[in-house]
Amino acid sequence: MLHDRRRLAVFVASGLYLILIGGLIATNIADISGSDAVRALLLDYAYWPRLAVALLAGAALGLAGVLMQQVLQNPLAAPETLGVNAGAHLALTIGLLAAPALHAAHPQLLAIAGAFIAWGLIAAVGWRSRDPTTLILTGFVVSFALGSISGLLMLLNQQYLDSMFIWGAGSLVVDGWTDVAQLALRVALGAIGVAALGRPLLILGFGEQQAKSLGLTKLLKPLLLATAVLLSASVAAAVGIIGFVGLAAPHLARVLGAEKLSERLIAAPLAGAALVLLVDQLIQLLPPEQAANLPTGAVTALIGAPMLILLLRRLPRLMLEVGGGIAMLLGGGSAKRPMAVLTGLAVALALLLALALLIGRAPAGFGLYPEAFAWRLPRVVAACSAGLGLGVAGCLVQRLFANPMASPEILGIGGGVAMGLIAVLLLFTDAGAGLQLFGATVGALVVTGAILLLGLDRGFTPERLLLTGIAITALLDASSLLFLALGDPRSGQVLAWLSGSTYWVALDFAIVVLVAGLAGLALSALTLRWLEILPLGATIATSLGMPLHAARLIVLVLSAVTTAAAALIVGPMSFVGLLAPHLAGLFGLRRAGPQLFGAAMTGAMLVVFADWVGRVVFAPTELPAGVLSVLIGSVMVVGVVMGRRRTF
Amino acid sequence: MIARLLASLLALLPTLPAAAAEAVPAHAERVATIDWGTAETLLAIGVTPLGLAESAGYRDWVGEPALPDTVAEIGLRATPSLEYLAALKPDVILSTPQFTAIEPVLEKIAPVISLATYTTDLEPYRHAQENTARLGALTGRAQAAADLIAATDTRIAKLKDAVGAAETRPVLVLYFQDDRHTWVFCRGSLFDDVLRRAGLKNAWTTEGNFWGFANAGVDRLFAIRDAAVLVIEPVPPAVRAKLEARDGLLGQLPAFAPGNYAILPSIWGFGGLPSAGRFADQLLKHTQLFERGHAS
Repeated sequence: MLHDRRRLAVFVASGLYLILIGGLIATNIADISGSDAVRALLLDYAYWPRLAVALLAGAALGLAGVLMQQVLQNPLAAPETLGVNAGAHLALTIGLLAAPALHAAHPQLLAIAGAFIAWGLIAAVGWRSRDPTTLILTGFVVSFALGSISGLLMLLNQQYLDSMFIWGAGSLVVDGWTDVAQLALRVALGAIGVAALGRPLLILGFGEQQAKSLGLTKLLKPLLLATAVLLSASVAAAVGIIGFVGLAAPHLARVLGAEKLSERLIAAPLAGAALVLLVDQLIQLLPPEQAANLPTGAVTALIGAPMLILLLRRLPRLMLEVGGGIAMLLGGGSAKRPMAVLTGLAVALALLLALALLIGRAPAGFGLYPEAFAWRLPRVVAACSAGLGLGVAGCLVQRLFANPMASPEILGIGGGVAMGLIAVLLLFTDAGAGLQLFGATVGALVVTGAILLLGLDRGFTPERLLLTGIAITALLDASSLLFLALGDPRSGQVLAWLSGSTYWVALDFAIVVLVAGLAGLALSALTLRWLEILPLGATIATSLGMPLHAARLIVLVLSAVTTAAAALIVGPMSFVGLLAPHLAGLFGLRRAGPQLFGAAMTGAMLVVFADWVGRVVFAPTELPAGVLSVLIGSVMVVGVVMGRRRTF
Repeated sequence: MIARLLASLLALLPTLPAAAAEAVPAHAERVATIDWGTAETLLAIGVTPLGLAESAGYRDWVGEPALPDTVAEIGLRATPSLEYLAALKPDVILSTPQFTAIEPVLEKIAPVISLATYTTDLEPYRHAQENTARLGALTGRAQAAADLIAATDTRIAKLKDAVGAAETRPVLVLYFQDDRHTWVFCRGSLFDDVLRRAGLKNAWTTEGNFWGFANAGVDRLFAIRDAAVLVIEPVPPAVRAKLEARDGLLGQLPAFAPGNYAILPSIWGFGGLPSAGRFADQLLKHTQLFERGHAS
């Protein structure tokens, strides 16, 4: 009965969709003006190929999404979370700068190679882990590490990389059928691959043990994943990044009633194609001068991210298991005298602060340049307070999520900060630092509020927060890509800020952030017992009599506030929060208290060091502290994870 | 050693809050700039700036007037190095409203003069004239500035004479981002102002942003019938190949029929009077493109 009613609903919905899309297509075709010959040419070279690309891209991403989610048994697996887009982006950027001829001749091969390399990196780091959350978090880290390298290259070569801004926002404007044919060929290859591997895939769906007992070769998983990466990379190569379709389409299919895997393999590509087609036709409905400013890929991400949150509320339960990281947090030897270690760290931090404050580089070389002390002071204070705040937030978030790969960035607060900044730039043509800061602060507050509201109904479970964070981060990407694709000459400034430059921080503001960080540290110190227990899991925490929901809420608020303050200075992404607790761990600071203070100090050291290196290494060209923290940080993260593998 | 460092730090402390901006000087010999358009104007009135941001980019995108090797590189436009700037001991730092956010930082070194050319009133040529005069007065080259203003007007007048009273076709000026996307220069751009002053019509009539350009996919260029097309370098290799092979939509567009378009050497679309003058000179070389009756 219920099943029938649902089937009827899906039937009616599909009918309505077809009527709507038919109307849109008819309207858009009627809007094409010109003589008959011109209209025919426009239809043949622009309209129909674009429609075909929309369908192909949506279907390919939907299929890739199902494959990834099924093989990895992970509902958050998708081209964007598994590094495909970031890898393709970096490969194209490097190609454009270093080998323009190769880039012009074979952009698609370049993008696909980049995607495979990125996926290989993620697989190498996160593959062995049986914990799905860790794989997704690894994907997150690798994606953003690669993304920050691309960002750095764009910052240094802004004028030369305008086309990459458009690519990043996924424009479906096509030029004839050549690219369409290439994409169609690759999608067909992928579909044939899936059909050939279909039976084993259905079996794999029942779980690892069954698959093993049925004698499936070890090659099957990598083959299927390779197919999925090929599919999504082909789309990225042909038209750029179409955000969120790969992640959302399989869930949309499931909500529409495709419960069996065999059904989803058909339904998800259909859903993806329908989604991209709808968004693209709606955009074409706008007056052309507006439509040109709205690349389809960024718009699907803007629509898809909130949609995913809504969709997932309707799913019974997210299939994420949490808890793989306990060994990391609690294992290993603790320092016998944590106070001595902390004192050592404090001395090291003081020395580093002195270095950053005193030593600069001018045309004459390294030196004191005493007149520069006053200019360097705000930056050093800013870097120190941002690092401190992120260190504290990282420690809190990792214990809250009970996962060593969690970082404050996944809360999505940086995304809010970026959106606030961009909104101010769009509204005011000559917004100064004060107004920009105001917009960024409002953005941080709005996202913090959204996280709390969205998390409320499920008691702030880690998987729910992770999902919200990924969705909000996708919104950040989409909105900043939209801004950059506009071609506004202020994009250099936005790029500098997004990559975490401390350049324009005023001393009074830096001090405010320092106070916020120190307050966060002091308040967190009051929750040490919770922080000790939270990583042990909900069951143990409850049995120990801890007020689980209240504790999660308080720890979350503390991490959100410290993250927001730091993000205002060092940009949305830095991974200092991910790294600092591990560094503290390396020094033997593993219990909650020592780790908290240790992470605060190592975080501060990392950002102060990154800021100083960025100022002097390529002087006078400055590299932003945020990006350098990511670069230094991701190398260390890989080291940490590799090292951790050895301890198993 | 450490004691000495500490002492010099302490000696510095009272001076920290005294970072207030000095008054803008009436006369400045030593200037540094973070804006390419300002740099080309300075060079054109015979003032060599001490330092310029992203000077390699200036050489590729602006080109003329050639940048002397003596001009020091000071870093990225959005984050110029304070130590390098300070080492130049400038009397004044020249900026544009696009960099408003970093002016408080730059003011720690020298007074900042912000010169707006591209504003919401969409009159860059007039602003470029005003800014040239202002730079001339500031650097003691008022006569050279007046000469530049007059010479640029003359270059445009020459174009106007060449075009004459004959009926002309509209002109489309664009810059390719890749083989599918262009920036089309429209009202509010320096190029549009030059066209207007020379009595020519811009083929792109809808408005863009206040920098005077609009994003346009190549499919939209179909609407451009019977117009001369000027493509500004650099042209991406993929586009050049398609144009030459008359391949894809680009190759089918009447706008890109051989003989209907010309590729101009790089001219900075966000520059000042020297860019405007160079654009006028280039147009003068291609008058046959926009003469009515030209076969398309």
